[in-house]
Amino acid sequence: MRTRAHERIVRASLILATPGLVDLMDWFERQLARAVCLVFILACAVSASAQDTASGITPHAVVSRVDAVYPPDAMRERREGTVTLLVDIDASGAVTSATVDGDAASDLADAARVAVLQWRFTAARRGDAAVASRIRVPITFALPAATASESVSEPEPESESESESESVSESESVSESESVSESESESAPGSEAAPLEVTVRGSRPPASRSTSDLTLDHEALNAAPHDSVASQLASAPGIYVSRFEGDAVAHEIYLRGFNAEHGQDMELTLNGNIPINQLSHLHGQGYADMNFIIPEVVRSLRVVEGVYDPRQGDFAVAGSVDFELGVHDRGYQLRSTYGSFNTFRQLLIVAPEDEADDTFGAVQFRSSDGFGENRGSLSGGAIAQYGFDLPSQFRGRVHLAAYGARAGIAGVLRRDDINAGRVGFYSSYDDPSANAQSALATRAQLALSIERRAPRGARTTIGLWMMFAGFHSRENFSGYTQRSRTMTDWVGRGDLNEQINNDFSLGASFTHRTRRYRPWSAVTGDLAFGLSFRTSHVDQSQNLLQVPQNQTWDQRIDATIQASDIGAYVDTDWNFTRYVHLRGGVRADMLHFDVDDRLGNFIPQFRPESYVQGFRRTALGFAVGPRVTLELAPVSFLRVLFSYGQGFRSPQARQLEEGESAPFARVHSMEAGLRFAPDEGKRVTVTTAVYGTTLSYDVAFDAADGRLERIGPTTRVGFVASVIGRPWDWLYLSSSITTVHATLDGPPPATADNPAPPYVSGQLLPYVPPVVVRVDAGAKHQLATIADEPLVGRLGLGFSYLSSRPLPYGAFSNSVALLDASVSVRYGFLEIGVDAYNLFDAQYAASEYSFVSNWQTSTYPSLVPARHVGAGAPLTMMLNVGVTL
Amino acid sequence: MKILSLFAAIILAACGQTGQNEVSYPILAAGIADATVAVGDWTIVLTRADVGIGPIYFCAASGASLDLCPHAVQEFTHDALIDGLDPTPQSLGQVTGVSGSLRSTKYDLGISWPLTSSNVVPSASAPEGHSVFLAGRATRGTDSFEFTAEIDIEPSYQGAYAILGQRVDVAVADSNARLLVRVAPDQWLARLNFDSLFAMGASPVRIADGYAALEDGSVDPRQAARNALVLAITNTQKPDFEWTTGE
Repeated sequence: MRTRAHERIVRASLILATPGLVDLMDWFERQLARAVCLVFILACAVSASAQDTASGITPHAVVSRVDAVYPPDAMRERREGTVTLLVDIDASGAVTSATVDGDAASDLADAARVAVLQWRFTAARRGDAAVASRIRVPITFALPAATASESVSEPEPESESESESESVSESESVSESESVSESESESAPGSEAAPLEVTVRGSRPPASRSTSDLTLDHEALNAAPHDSVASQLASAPGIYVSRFEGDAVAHEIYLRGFNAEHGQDMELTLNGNIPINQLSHLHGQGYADMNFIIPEVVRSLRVVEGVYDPRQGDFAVAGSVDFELGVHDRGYQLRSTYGSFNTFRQLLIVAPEDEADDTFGAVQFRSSDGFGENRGSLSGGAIAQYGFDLPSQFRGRVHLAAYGARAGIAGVLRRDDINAGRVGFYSSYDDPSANAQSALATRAQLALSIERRAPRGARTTIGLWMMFAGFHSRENFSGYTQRSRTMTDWVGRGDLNEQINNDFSLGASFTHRTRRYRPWSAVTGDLAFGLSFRTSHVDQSQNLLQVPQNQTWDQRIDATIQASDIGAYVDTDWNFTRYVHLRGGVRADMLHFDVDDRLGNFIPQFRPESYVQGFRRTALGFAVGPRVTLELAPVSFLRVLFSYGQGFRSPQARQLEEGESAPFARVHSMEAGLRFAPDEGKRVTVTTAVYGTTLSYDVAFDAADGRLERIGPTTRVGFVASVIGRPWDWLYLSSSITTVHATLDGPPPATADNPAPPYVSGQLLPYVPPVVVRVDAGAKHQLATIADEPLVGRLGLGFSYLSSRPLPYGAFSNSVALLDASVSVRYGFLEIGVDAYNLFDAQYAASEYSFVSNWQTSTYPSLVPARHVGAGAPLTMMLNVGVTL
Repeated sequence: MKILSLFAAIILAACGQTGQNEVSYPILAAGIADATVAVGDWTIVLTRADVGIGPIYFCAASGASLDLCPHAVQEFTHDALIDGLDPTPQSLGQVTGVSGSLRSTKYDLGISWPLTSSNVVPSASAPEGHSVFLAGRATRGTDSFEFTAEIDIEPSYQGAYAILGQRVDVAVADSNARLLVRVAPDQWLARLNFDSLFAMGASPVRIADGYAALEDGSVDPRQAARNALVLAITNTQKPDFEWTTGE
């Protein structure tokens, strides 16, 4: 602090220097000012030193310090306070006790004690002798500066002097920092030293962009059992995830009338700036495989349903999800899981107690025979993060992740074959091509981010990341329908479609948020800027294979794609009195594609070669869109939000023509909603909203090629309502219902095989569930105390309902209702529990399609698109045994 | 759960449709009423005219080739035998599929060449294992002879169909429809040279494929007759598809 004060004097002295003097005088003045300042600093230092040693005592100093964790309940309930600890330090510098001075019965006090007991000091010394000491450590738990989304109370910009302490105390992650440097301590044993003041800041949640902008915290994510990160998404209103293609393929995501397939309509990120979606992936544009994320290390996830935040980039059509990684329960966790279908999982988490939540290492291994034929899998991965403090209020974080998985794929089955008993629901076709289906996925990524918290809420971040993702699948959706393009008399060898997609990407991001301004007494606001860049080098190929040797009998795709995305945004967040809040900005992206399509300009077998096959082309395009949110807070318990935004989805590069202005799919998203949160949401929060989305062109799955094809413009309108309640401290409840009316606004593009595709006004969009219901419940209670150790029980329930979905060609799927449950007890370091997924053993389709296939189960093949299903998992029971040290 | 399902059903019912409906309607066949036909100086009385047909696919594309009709709008995925001398509608089964415009058809006539088979395969309904089997008597004054015709109409290559791209033009909106397949075996005989067949001096004369050229290099009359029949069946006098509103 003294140093900062003198720096200010230096700055003041420099400012006082008259700029109009000759250079020499100017130089002389500056040097004189500096000299005076240096002398003053030295004098202060000597004075301080003299004070420190006046009694012959050398005070203690902190050697290592463990951050106190802001108790989640306290943060949620917006409780603040200061806990003063009397800390006894022995002659070696170890903390021997920490007692609360005052009211000790609070979770804030517990959190403070837990942290301080892990601190280490240099011993205080009297002369050369180390002595025990007692010091007083006030630890202040303070919430971040309120924003409109947090409280209706108007945030007061701090004074300049306040901002100095703010600059070191405000931390977006739950962390701790000293606002005042250590001062002298009392050296005599048993006496009290001068305080070592510490402030613990809770995180400042991002400004709400819509009623449906929500963050699922640790409690919400762990209320119901989840066997994957993707399934955690289902706890957000309107989201449903499924997967039938095995453990090595990304989940399918449904949200608000969007069948986001493997991520085409959902922007997924990690730690705010590491993209999970992949550009121009062969298996689906925006392919996002979340399987590399270990569920236990997800600290929170933010879901924005709709496109209302200028930070949302490519693929944020239905919305976006950001996973924040961190381990809340510090220590060493070893967890073994074994259960149905010979499924085994081993997890190890190392979360050093003297590090912050974002520092951890986790490794997992999983194997399973699968719940039916050809569904076995093997996977493993590791994630490690290290967060570290740097001088000048900088904080850095290194993130590493590696993952690999291989799984068999049973494939989809014709519904009529199942109904006729020709194939079992959980089986695979008894066909060598069907049984050769599999997928392999790999991913490795490295990221570095540095952020600086500056005075009064200003914040600057920079991030770098690089990623390699490999994907290799062999899937046969259609049986025997294909004919070789290369050799037209090669037919009937099986439609085993091999897809290979290797993606090497790197990128960077920069964001800056200004301090909070107050141009008028009732108006406050800030400005934010952001830049992002990514470039991807994608090699992809698609071939037809003939089993059992997997001989290639046709080539469909062989291409290299170089794609880049440069994005920039400006965002503002202004409060006009405590009742009106306006946020919004503009985002612009420039995407560039360079495609080497080696099978372009295909030369059919019957045509003599007159040129070299191949087609190289480039394209570039801009996507610009505003996003704005108006929030009204007429009373403390009610908020009314109006949101509008334009987003985009980048095109599949191979479908671009030379020089085409990258025809983005443009989305217009709007929402009006209410958030009712009496008592600041401590017990219950109710939200309702109506929303609408239009998309300039949509895509749907084409089974013949195993990829997405355009179907035309679409509109979705719907309603969502959710209730989150904590009627008692030990019980968490969340429920939501989302309805949507999704329609095709025009006929699909005409093709040679269908020059006038059938279309009626108001035609329902296929694959979209009109109703999605989700209920999460979690109860955690101390059951007994045995030998002074609490026995804590946990119960969790998760229920998902997906209504009947329209399918192409007039068909409708069956509805899906699933109940998951978990129960566990924890005693000391040991936790034992059972998870049950699909408790009622419902036979349901994880995915349904309608297309033409021929599995030779009838005399003559049907060429009318038929319903196909990919089986969802039956009742699955898993026993968990965990040890936490 | 029932409440949720009901709620979903209400929303679905109230809010729209998927654009196409599943349809299923009968397919029938009819032959000719009069088995006597005059061809030049000859009077032909057909005593048998059996036609194997199926599967039949109806496509949205104007020309139902392999490339342009990878999937059909409606289909008849069975094989059936048509008595070409019975003018009353004969039930063949059901056409199934989805509603929509039908612009062309592709189908087999008693013999198929599946995509997964290296050889052509006669259907169970194929008359005597052929696409078409005709029998009759030709009379010219006092001259007379019997004849049979065993016509095989095979797909040109593996995975193809015997008849590709035959134009139709109808929009079938629902199951309240009926398809009548008309065959006209009398008209298939129009280009046969019965004089040369009679000159062979045999009775019955077996018209079929596989006859070698005569010594003078000309085409065997039986082979020529077979070729004329194939041309008529597959080009000039193809089976006709006629949709009507069902009763």
